[in-house]
Formats: sequence, structure tokens, C-alpha cells
Amino acid sequence: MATVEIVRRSAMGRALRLFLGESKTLAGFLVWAGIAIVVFFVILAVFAPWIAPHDPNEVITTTAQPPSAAHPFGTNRLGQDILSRVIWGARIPLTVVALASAIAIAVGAPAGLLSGFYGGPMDRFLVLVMDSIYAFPGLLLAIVVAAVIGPGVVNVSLVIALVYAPTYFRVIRNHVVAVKEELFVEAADALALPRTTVIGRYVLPSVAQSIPVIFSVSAADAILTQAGLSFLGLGLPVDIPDWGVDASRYAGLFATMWWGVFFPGLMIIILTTALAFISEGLNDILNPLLRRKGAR
Amino acid sequence: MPKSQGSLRVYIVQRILLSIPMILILLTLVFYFLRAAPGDPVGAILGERASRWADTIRRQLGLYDPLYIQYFDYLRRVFTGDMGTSIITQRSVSEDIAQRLPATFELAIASMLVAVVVGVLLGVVGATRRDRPADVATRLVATVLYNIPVFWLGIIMQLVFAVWLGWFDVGGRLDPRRFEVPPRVTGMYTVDSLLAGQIHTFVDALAHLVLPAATLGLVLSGFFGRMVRANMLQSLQADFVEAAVARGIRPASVFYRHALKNAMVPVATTMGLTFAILFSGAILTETVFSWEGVGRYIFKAISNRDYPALQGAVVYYAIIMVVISLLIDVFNAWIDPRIRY
Repeated sequence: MATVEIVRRSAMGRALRLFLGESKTLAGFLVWAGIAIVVFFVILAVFAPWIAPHDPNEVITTTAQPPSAAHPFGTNRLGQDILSRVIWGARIPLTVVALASAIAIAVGAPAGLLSGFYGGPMDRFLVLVMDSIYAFPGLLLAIVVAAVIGPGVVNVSLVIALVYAPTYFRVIRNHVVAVKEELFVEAADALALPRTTVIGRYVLPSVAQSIPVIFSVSAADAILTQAGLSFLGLGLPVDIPDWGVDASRYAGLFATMWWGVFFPGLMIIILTTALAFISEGLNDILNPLLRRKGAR
Repeated sequence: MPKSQGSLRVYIVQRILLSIPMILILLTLVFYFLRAAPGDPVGAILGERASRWADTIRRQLGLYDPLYIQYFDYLRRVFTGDMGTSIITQRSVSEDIAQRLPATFELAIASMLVAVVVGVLLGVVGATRRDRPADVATRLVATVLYNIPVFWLGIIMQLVFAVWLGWFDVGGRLDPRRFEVPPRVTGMYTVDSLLAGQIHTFVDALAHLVLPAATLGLVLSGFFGRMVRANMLQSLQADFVEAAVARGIRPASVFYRHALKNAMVPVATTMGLTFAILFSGAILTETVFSWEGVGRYIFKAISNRDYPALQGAVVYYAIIMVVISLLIDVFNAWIDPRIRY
């Protein structure tokens, strides 16, 4: 009973109820459609060995073959089944996004929380550093770091985390600065509660709700950055099936083998668009400024 | 009046002062990542196939000096414009960049034009027909455009318009068999050819610009379209629009003169972010279309493991970004006094 009460009262719970109530509007539909597509790709990625008709690295045909009944997405120049590679390929972007976001949140969120709460010269310095990174073109930053630390799933995730940590930092820090002035935080402070309690129990729950929003906004960008790195040859070794690598590996041969480039790229678009649906829908729901006047 | 003039001047000075630590931080980050990263940066970048060069290059780069000396040496060189020598072209990186920068600017300007025209169109159509099929369709188009990998769109453009339809060349800035590079004034072929009165060269340069600019511009137009739509909806709800309607002003006029004009202000404010996206996209677009700008220079530096070239190009990009965002902020403060406070 007590838990229900907390959920009902918390900002998160409020957002959730708002969101469930919106499921019949366009915004609600966007969010649900986006989630459905992402879940579909997660299932593909997890059950790839059972879903994919062939092994992604198995050589099946002697030459590249256009899409046919046997190979709906065709085969590439190495004679690999592109459909199977595309199914296996879902693993890389999803892993990278999950890992990169986890690292970015682990670094950006606590830094933003403490920086915003305590203020002072350390806060000003961190804001300056984070703003500098934020203002820098994300792909370029990723290129510099990726060129040094080399390819691999974990390295690419680290690179992308570095690009998106400042976003988490900025949003959370500014949110904390605003929440800090709220009466309930001042009251907790006046009660001489330990700082950790004030932050953990009063500030954190209020600002934590922005994390899923930032995630949904930055996730699509993260996938595009990962694909861009792959295209530049900084992503992953070529024997790993990855949409970005596959879409760019045959870039020079697109005139004779369009399907080798087309289908992996199409998968990237579907996944990033789905993530964008989620963020746009959430934004419509949570940003009341954009609601129609007097609609409800 | 003098008072507000003064506050603008104060703002500009403050903003310039803020840019200095920003550039320093970026330079420091680049320095630490490319030079002082754990492990051997030269080894990491050259790879084992060039190990016999590694020692020479390390000495050349002063990598045997203590770190702080390297750091200050590096800062001194950056501020005197000396970015080292490219391993591949054997020319000064600054020269290489200066030669290629106009190509990148040419592409950036053309893409921006495409992005603004398509983006405003998408946004206005969506906002005027809110929640109707046209709105849903334009939003969908804008969202998909913004989320297309730019290199993939470029390849598809090449496939359809260059290979299948044969309307344009696959890449490059000019057909070298038919035209000579126009005498260099700005470095932008379209402008230089016009200045020299070479109309056929101009047409060819423009034709080469179409596909890359459309690629980068379309991706960016998704970003513009979403922003214009959201801003339009907000300003359509504003009191001044209601007042205009009440005064009996024609709906079209209310729309374009009152709402759209105000909707464009936040678009100007986010120009900094736009340029960041534009420059990221330019690296990929230039690579796809063999457009010899700074972006392709960076790509070549990566694939040739040309470490001084990569570092130099990145530093130039960083400085250009900071200067552009400075200019944009000052411009915004000038058009919108609220920003200064």
C-alpha cells in the first residue's frame, strides 16, 4: 500500500500515468510504436542464432546475388546471406547504445548531481569543461578518441559515452540547481538531515525522471555516431556483423551490388527512427507548452 | 539607447573571454587524447607496419620531452599557426587545411540553404495542419530524414542520380577532363568560376555540388523541420497572434508575418548546434562524394594513420566551432536583448 502511494506521488509515477492516459493520442501512439520496434530488434538480437537462416559468416554463394526467394536481402561479395548478417547485426548497435548510455549516465549523472548541489568553483569548472565538449561536433570527438583507443565494441561504447556524458551532466545539473530552491529541499536542509539524505532522498528522485528522456533523445544519435565511426573504419573489425560496417564495406561496389549497402542502412534508419518516435512522443506528452490550448 | 549599447558590448566582451578557456580546454583534451594517452599514441596510430618510422616520428614530435614541455610547446605552435607537417602530403598541415577549407564552406553553405528551405517547408506545412494527415506525414518525413545515416543517404543518392539516372557525376568538385580549376579567389569553385566569367565551369561546379549538398541538407532539414514546427505551434498560441487575428488581419499574413518570423528566432539560437551537426555530417558526406574538403582530409588522415594531419585538422575544426558559436551568440544577443541578461 505504501509503495503504491509513493508511486502515485512521485514525479515518475505522475509521468507514467500521464503517459498511459495518452495512449490514444498521436504522441502515445508514437511512443508505443517506437517501443514495439525497439523490442522487435532486441528480440532479433537476443535470438539471432535461432532466427537467422544462416551463420552470418558462412559462405553460401560463390558470387554476390541479388535478393531472391532463397535470400530475401541477397548475398554479398563474400557469398554471405545479408538477411542473416542484418539479424546478427542488431546486436552491435543495441549493445553499444546500452553500454555507452550506462557509462554516460554513471559519469554524467552523479557529476551533475554533485556539481549542481554544491556549486562553487568546482561547479563552474565542470560546467565549462562539459560545455566545451558538448559544443564540439560529436562525431569529430568520437573520431579523435576512437583513433587512439582502437576498434572494438567496448572501446566504441566508451567513445560514445564520452560524447553523451556532457548531455546528462548539463540537464541534470541544471535540474538540480532548480530543485535545490524548492521548499521541500530547503526544509530537509533546515532539519539538518545529512547531505547524503538530502541528495539521495529529496533531490535525486526529482531529477531522475529526466534520465529516460535524455536517453531516448541521445540513443538515436549514438547509433548514428557508431555507424559513422564504422563507415570511417574506426568502429569494429570486419568479421563482426554490424549494420554500419556492412553498409559501408560495399560502398565502393554499390553500383553493381546496391542490396549490400541498402538493407543494413535501412535497419539503422528503422531503429533510429523508432528511438526518435519514443523521444518525440515523450516530449509531446511531458512538454505541456506544446499542447493545444484548452484541448483537455 | 546608450545603456543597451553598453550592455551589448559588455556581453560581447564576456562572451569572448569565455571562448578563451573553451578553446584551451578543447586544445588540452585533443593534446591529452592524441599525445599523452596511456600507451604509445605513435604506435597506436602508426600501427606495427611502420614501426621503423616510429622512433623518428617520436623524436620529430618531441615525444621524449617531459609532458609539460610538450604541452606548452604544443600550445605555442597552435597559437602561431604551426600545426606540424602531414606525413602523407609532406606539406604543412595549416597549408593543407587552408587549401581545403573553402570546399568545406562551399558545401556547408549550400547544405544550409537546402536545409532551411526544406526544413521551413516541412515545419510550416506541419504546423498549419496540426494533427491532420499532412502534419503526421511531414513529421514522419522530418523524423526519418534526421535519423538517416548521412553516408548511407549519400551512397543511395549516388546510386539513383549518378549511376542509374546519370544526371550527375558520382563525386568530385569538377570534371577534370573538361574543366580547369578556376583562378583562386575564394577557393569556392562556384564563386571563383563566376568571378572569372567561366559560365560552363560554373555550371559543372554547381552540378557537382548538387548531390552532396542535397544529402547533407536533407539530413539537416529534418532537424530544422522539427524545430520550426514546434516553434510555430508555440508562437501560434501566443497572445500577439491572437491579437492579430482579433484585429482581422488575414490568416496568411498572421501566419507568415507574425508567427513564422517569431518561430525563426529559436532557430537562430540553435545555429551553434546546427553547425556542430553540419560539420559532423560534412566529414561523412565529403568522404562519400570525394569532396576534397577538410572532412575528407580527416578521413584520409585516419586511413593513412597520418597523425599530425589528424591532430591539426581537429584543432582547426575546434577553433572554427568556437568562433562560429561566438559569432552566433553575439548575433543572437544583438537581435534578442533578453539573451544578454
